[in-house]
Amino acid sequence: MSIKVQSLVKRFGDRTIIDHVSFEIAHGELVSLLGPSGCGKTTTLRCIAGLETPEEGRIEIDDEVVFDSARGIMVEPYHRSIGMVFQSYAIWPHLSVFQNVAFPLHVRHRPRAEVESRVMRALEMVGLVSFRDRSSQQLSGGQQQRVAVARAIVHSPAALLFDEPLSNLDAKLRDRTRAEIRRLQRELHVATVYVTHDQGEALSLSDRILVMGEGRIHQAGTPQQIYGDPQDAFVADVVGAANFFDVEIQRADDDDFRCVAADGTPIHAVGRAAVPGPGRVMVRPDRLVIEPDSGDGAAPNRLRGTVVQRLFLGGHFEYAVAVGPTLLRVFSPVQIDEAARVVVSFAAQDGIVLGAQAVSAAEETEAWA
Amino acid sequence: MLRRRTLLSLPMFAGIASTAHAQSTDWVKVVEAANKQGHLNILHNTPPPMGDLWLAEFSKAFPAISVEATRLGSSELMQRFNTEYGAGASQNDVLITLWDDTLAKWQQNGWLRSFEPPEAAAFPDRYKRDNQIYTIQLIRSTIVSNKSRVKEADAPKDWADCFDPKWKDKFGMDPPWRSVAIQEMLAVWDQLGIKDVAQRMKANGVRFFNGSAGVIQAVIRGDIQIAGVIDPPVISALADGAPVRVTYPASAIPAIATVTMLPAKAPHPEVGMVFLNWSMSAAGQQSLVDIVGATVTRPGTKPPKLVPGLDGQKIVLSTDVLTPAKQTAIVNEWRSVFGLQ
Amino acid sequence: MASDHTLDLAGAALPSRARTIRHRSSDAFISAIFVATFAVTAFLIVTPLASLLYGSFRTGGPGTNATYTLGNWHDLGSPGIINTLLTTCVISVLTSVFSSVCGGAMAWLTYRTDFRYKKLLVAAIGLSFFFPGFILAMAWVILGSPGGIFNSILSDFLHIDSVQFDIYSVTGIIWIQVLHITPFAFFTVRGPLSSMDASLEEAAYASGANPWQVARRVTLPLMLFPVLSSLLLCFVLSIEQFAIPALVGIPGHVNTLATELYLLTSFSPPNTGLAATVGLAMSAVTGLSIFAQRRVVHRRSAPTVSGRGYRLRPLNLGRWRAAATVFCLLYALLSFIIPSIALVYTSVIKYFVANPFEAAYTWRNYHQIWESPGTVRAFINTLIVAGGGAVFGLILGTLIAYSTHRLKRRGYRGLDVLASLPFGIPGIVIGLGFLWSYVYLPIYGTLWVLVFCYVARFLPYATETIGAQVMQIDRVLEEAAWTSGANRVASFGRIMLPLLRPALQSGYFLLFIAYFREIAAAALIYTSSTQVLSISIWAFFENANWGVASALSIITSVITVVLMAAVMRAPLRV
Repeated sequence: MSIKVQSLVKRFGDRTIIDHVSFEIAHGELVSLLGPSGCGKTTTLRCIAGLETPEEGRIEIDDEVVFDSARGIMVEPYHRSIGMVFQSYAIWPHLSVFQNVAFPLHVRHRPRAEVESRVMRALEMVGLVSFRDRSSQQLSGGQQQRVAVARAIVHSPAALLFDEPLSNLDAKLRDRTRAEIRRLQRELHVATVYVTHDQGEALSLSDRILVMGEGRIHQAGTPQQIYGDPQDAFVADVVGAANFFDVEIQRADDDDFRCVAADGTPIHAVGRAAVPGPGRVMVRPDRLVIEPDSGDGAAPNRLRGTVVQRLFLGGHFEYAVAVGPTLLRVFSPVQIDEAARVVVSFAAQDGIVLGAQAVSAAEETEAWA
Repeated sequence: MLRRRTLLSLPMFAGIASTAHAQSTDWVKVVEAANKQGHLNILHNTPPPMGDLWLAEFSKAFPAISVEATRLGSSELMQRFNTEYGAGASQNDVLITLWDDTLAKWQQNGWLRSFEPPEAAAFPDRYKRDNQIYTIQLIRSTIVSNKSRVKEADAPKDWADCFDPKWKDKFGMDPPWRSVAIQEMLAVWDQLGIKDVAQRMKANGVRFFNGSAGVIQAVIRGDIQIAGVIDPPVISALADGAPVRVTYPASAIPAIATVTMLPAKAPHPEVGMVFLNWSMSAAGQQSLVDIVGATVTRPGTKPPKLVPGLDGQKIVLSTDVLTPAKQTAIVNEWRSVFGLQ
Repeated sequence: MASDHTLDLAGAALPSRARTIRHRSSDAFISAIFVATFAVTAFLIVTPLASLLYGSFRTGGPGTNATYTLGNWHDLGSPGIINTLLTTCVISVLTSVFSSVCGGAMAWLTYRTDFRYKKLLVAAIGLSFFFPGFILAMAWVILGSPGGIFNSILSDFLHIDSVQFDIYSVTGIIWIQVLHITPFAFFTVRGPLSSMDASLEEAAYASGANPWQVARRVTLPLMLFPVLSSLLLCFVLSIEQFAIPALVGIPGHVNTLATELYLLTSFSPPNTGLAATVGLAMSAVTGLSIFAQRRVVHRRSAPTVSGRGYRLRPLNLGRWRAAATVFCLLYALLSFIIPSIALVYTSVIKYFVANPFEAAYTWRNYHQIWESPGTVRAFINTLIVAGGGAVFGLILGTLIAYSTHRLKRRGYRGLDVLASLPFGIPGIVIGLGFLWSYVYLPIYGTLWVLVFCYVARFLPYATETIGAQVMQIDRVLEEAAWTSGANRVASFGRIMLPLLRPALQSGYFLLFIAYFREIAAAALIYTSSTQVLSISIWAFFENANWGVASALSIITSVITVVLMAAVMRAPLRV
């Protein structure tokens, strides 16, 4: 295992920022820490880097213990085999591009020839070879970010740490850079921890995602698992757009839930371990089918409502449909006018039931969403 | 060096002669020792650059002795010596400063050397204190007026004239809390019977300036028209041709003493003695007059040009009139009247 | 075939330097430096202060037969002292505000706008820096006293008798002090202002704000810490001004604490006990206010030098250009051009005459300088003490600033307070403390005492200037260095120091000038072998020899400017 974190606890004053977090990252694996601000993901990253000292726990990088509260071990960041890319890039203004990237090698007193070749290779990988002698003050945001990446990889660290590296870029650049980071990481085959609050990044880049909230890991899994099979409403909401509506659960068999919506429509859905009683169903907006209301009779998984708003997003429309007291978001290529009466439907396996206990988490994340 | 046989044959005269010769013999030894020690550390308060030039005259007379001088204002000088000597760190062979009661305390502490240089014989006793403190210079206070703005007929002739209402806002002086010379002047005024000085001065708009230098500059510039001030800077100004008029009142002339002393413990004791002697010699005193413009105490010295000498003047010495109690009383009174207490 | 130097993508990492070590003290070296810094600072500052404290309970200085007393502390509350205190505060507050406004405005013009005469302005500020306070006061007495040049021009030339200048007033003191202290404000603010992120202002500018509004709404709030620093510096500088109030205040019956203290220590009968007491009380007040300032502002200062990269695109002044030029020109004229002319004039005449056509001219003042043997030695001493001593002061100041703003090891707040203590004590009282404490040590009488005294006295200049810049450097730049493998020493040397360069330059400049101009502290501890130029000039000046004093000031200023230019290699580089 390249990175091992065990029972990490970090407090600031009387607030617990990281609450007994454990995970492992294999050699060459890219794991994202995904969650809203304040969930502890950045602090966890900084603990791995050595920029914060946890209260309890144990951290290993490349089979070397870098932190162990039980044995009183704390290795400073400069003795850990890491490379870190900061959210603000932290490019040093008084050094050229070459000097910035070469810095980790210079402080390790590597011979000149080695420095030259390593730096040029790193610059090649991020596409900045012709920039080598430029002053870092003349770079655009995207270029600085690439310098930061080059600097982080130039000395072949055992662990790569990214702290929300794309949040300051514009959308187009973000997409492009996302793909490049993925390609780079694959090529280097280095264990990577990637902190982000953007589900698109997490889903597209990661081998595994750890969804974090309030200092705990809610769910760990592959992107498909997290997206398609969220363990609770919190995870569901964090990983993608999600619609929730209240139901009364009547029968709770693992793959065949029978519920009743507020307006009496029967709902067939899937889920996990919920008991009969009040609950919620989660459906992704892209899984809802929207069509004009032709007055057909009621059928399972077909809800009646009115289009309140329509947004054109180029590839599809985004609808806000009022179904009773609930507002559902629907992504669909079909064009329907506002104020039209419609029917919104979904397949049974696209509806996920969450029990009452998961309700409170969803309430909280709704404000964030 | 005379042989004993010759001495014994001429008893009395020979006795005196032998004493004189023995003294001069001792003195020759002192000078020899001084030349061997070859270095003078002197702590003094003579203003630059005249101070340096005067000391250069000493170097001409004693080329084997190199001179290192530290110049400080008299109050700071006394503080410095207090601190250094008290800590056993004093490096000075000679001190020259204004007379102050502190010096009497130094005498009590045994910090000063008792030594009578040969030249001391020429001086009246009032200028020699216990063979430890020698007054070599007097600094007199006078009335000064600006020639271009004050006609001869209108100029004040004596101290009491300075209080005339026609000098409102036009009279200047160094404030008493800043100047021993002014304290002496006020003490003399008190003796002369001039009363309520502080209040009357305040009512008449007296202006204060920073030191006698500041006062003279103010007179020349025309900020004020008359002043009561010590005479060394006046003499310099006169030498330059500045339009100032100096008046030495007939009733009394306040004077403060500049004294020379030898510390009991010094790195080059004989050099100190040689310097003390030179400063009291005719040559040393005359050069003090010519270079520094000072008024010296050795009888028979030619007075500085441009101002009258000591003859016929009613000199009132600070040593006689200004006690520490009086100093404190004057300073406190003036500070109260001017709202500073 | 891959050469063995290429970036081995399959993860053949560099030899790992990770060691599992027992304790968190891998920076034993850094800790040792911190402890040493603390110890040196404590020694430099506590020793004279302790002597002062001791002296405040005594009736006289060492060597006098003094006894213990509480009388000095009782006298602190006397109406005269309180009155003097109030006067001093009023003067100092006004001086500080005006100086900071002027200095800050000129720094802003120089570093944030496209003002056309930047180099000249910086040169003017630098040159006015060189004027020792009493020379400036002397020049202004010549110009603005009732019998001075301005009034002669008014009454004799223009026949206007209704308006008359009188520099001997509170206004006169404030006027001269502002001219004198503005350069300090400029240099305090210069470092942080010149490294600020331009995009912050550009955003405001793009929203339609004119340069005034940009300065008021964006620049000023972001510069809160440096501006407050500047206000504080100027306030304290003003409080301890001695020569200007002495020359200009005394004739006008205006007394400040500094002149009061000078009287207490320098003139018979001395009251050194009361002087020490007043000095300690002032120091307590300013130490507390600096402590309070740090706590208030520290939280709110947002770093504006970040790795995000900044481009210094200057703001367009537009129609404000003419006003700015006039303002700067006025400053240059009043702070050193006209006083220089007055100075040159004074150096070549025998005695003062307002009308240059009636004056008696002479070269003898310059001759007298060559003939004085002490002067050459004084010059060498000054170079050693100011030039070399400033290096010590800068190093110590940098270590302290870094320790208190970044390192924050246990005890750093104490270090902060310690370092700011000498701030509030007038030079003359510090000199007294040093005299009393160092007279027992073998270094007494050597230049080292002067260096120690100056380093201690002016430490806050360095710590404030450098501290303000340290605050502006985003912590993340150092973290990036740590995660790149540089330990704290390497990251300090490779990242922090280069980024601190503007502040280091300003700091050195500030210290050099401060050491160069210092009179009051030196007057009590110098000996003939350690006499410095300021003492020489002051001595000539105090003894009615303004001619020689002016001549010496001119010569030393010229030589020093040349030297500083060589040392700083283009000091006019903006």
